[in-house]
Amino acid sequence: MKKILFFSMFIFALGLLVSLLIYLGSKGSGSEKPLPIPKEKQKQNVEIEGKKKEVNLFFPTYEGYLLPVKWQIEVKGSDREEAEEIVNALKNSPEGAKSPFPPGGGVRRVFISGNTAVVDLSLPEEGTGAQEELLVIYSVVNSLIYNIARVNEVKIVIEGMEKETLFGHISLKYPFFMDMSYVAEGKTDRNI
Amino acid sequence: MFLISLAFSQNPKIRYADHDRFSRFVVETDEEIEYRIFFQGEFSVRLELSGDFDISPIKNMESRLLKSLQVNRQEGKTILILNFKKSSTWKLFELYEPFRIVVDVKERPKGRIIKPLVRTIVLDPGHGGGETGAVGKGGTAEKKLSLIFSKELKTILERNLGVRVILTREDDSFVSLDERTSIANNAKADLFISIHFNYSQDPSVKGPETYFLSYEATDTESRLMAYRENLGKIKEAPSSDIELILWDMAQSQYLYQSSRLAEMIQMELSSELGVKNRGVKQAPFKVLMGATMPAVLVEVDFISNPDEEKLLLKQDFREGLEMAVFRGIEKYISFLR
Repeated sequence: MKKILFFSMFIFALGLLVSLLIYLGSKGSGSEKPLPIPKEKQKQNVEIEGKKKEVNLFFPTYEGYLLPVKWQIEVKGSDREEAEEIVNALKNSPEGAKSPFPPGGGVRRVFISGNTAVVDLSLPEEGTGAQEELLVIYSVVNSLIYNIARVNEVKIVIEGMEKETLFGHISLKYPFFMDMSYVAEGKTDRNI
Repeated sequence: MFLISLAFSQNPKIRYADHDRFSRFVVETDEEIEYRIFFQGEFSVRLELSGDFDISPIKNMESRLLKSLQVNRQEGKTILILNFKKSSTWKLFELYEPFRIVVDVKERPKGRIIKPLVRTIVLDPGHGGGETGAVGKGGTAEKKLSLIFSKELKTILERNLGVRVILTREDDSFVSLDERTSIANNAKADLFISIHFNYSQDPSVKGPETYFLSYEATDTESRLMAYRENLGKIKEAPSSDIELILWDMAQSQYLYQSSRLAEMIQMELSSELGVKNRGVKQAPFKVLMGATMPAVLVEVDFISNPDEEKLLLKQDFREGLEMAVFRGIEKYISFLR
């Protein structure tokens, strides 16, 4: 009798163990739907999406310098998206300055690899002087490096391809560092 | 960065600060004032302000490059002499509301005189072929004007200096930027001068801009070093890659001479055009990178200024500017001696 009782208890315990293993196994498998995002987190994400952030953009001036201008951009989820927002915002012409991009020009994509931002520009074929060319380059370069902590150099490509220069003067072969000597005195804390 | 501000009522405010790659000196006034700036060697610059101002001299400036400020007053002028701690180049610009005279001082690249004689000069007329360069409001193409100017300058240099002058293009053909530098290297030229005409959206801007190469903007030197270090770890080094980087570094040992040549041409052209000498500038110009001799790029004047464009089409006006470039080269040769 004792043997039968012991055997029954053993079968019951084994059954329990098998059930537990099946349950744990199903929990770890990828077949189950992802857990829903908690409501508080959802709310937080919506808030981030609609949130604005102040950045310092560097627009070329008619006098041949870069003017720092405070600008509101939408907060995005990634540095890459934020970098695109920043370069796209340079299409504007604030008071006392102009967009670095000629009509029909702008940014196609921005990629970030390590500390390097790769900016793919689309620019119409036109000629200009070295000074204007430098201002186009450093408007983009300074605006990205100043505002995105991770980025410390910017490589420029045109229509997805490596190009020697933008308009025949400045080498685009190597990435550029931020250069504040093109920046006129302004409101940013790094200038006097 | 630190900031020092010394304010006087009714007087210009003087301030200065160190930035990563340069030191900035600012004179701020309530109203626009007349002034002149003078190139006076590699250790100071002289700024003459019109008017009697009470500006205090500064004996020891707390700056990486700025040493001291001397102040003298004579004949209704206030003369500021800004002394540098190291051999430096400078560039000048103005800002408005309030009016500011800004002088950015940058340490001059280190170097020594390598070749004392100038026998061959290569002139490089900017752009050409399908690459028009800038176009003035009156339709003048930069590629055309740079070719005419270079041909006329060639005659002046050959006649007055007795040197051999080679042009990188003799007609309206496309020549790649590397090919232009190769022509100078193959000719074993002693000087390389790229001739361009400038463009600004502001039609009133006039005056020259003379550039020499900058490696700082892209930190080519440290890239080369990193590459060399990595080479030890790579079994089969792609030699074409290292050759390309070495090509880009070719100009590095001539930067000191290039800065002097740029300064002398800039000074002569500014004086010929009757504009303030705004100093020389540095940028990573593709055409200067591979040059194995002192090399500069001269933006002679702005063709975007309709008045200047008309004048530049006149031979006698161009001759004045060509003579100014010649005088700059002549002064550079005397400096070598």
